[in-house]
Amino acid sequence: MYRIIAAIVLSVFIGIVIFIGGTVTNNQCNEHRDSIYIAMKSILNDDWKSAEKTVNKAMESWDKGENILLIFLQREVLDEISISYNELSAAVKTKDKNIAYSKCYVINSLIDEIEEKESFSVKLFF
Amino acid sequence: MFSTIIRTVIMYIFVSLGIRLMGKRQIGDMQPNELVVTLLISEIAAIPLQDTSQPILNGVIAIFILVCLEIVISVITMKSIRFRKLMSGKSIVIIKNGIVDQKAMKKVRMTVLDLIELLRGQSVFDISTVAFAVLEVNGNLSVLLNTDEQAVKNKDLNINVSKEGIQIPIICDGKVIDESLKSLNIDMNTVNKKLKSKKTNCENVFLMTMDRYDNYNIIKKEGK
Repeated sequence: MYRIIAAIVLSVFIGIVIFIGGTVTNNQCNEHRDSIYIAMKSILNDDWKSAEKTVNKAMESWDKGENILLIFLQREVLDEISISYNELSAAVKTKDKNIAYSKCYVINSLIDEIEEKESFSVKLFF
Repeated sequence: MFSTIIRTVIMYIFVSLGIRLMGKRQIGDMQPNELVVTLLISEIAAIPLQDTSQPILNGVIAIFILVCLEIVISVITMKSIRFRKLMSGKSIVIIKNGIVDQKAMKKVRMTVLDLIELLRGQSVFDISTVAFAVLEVNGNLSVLLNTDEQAVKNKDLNINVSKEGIQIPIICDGKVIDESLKSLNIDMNTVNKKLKSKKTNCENVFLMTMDRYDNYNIIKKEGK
């Protein structure tokens, strides 16, 4: 009997972990996608002050969120985003529009990749 | 390096917990599905230990899912004979009334040498002495010898023997095990009487065992 109870407890635990993992990942992805969108707009309008402020804020938030995401996601993917953020920050500081804009795209596509991997998709089953 | 140590400890705890929940069985006694789960758990547990970029949670969740599946399958197996046959297969009679069933051997892809080896494992060196041999689901061979080859039992010779139960350790290395006293429903006075009759005391005893029919053995400590 205790084995059945244990199985139920484990199932509930797995369910909670999957739910928390999905929610945290989604929230983080949405937050950073919004930040990058604002930064892209500022870069396009040559508003470098605003772009720098947005990128710095996003980087701070990323550094905090990364520790939680590490529990659920592969370190390599998260490291790639961190590197891209640093490159974006450097490009914004040097006012290099092309690199800054391309780095925004890179971060966006990495975030999309994370969401895709964590989503309930049939193509990921095989 | 430090993370590897912590990861190893965490994984050890979770794998031990998982195996414990699956129940106690030796590898030789495992049903096919249990063997699969055990192999998978050992593989999955190794991945987060080797590759520190993998979240340990992935491994833990995979192990717990396997354990849950194993428990669910074992419960269904207990309830349904059909499901048991489907998951574990069924025992096959290889030797029936002293005749080797060659069709059955082909079915389980067993050679004559395999059969002889399995018989030797059961201390049977002459195949003609076997009346029945059954290949069990876990791969073991159960053997029933011809009646004239079977060991003589006390009741066959009408011999009355005193009853013997399981010998339970009462004193180990001079220390009394209270749980054993409770399980045999005796107290220290009974034990002391036995010790007195052997002219010794508790501290000088290396091992004392006793069964519920009052049979006992005492091994004294060396030099006492």
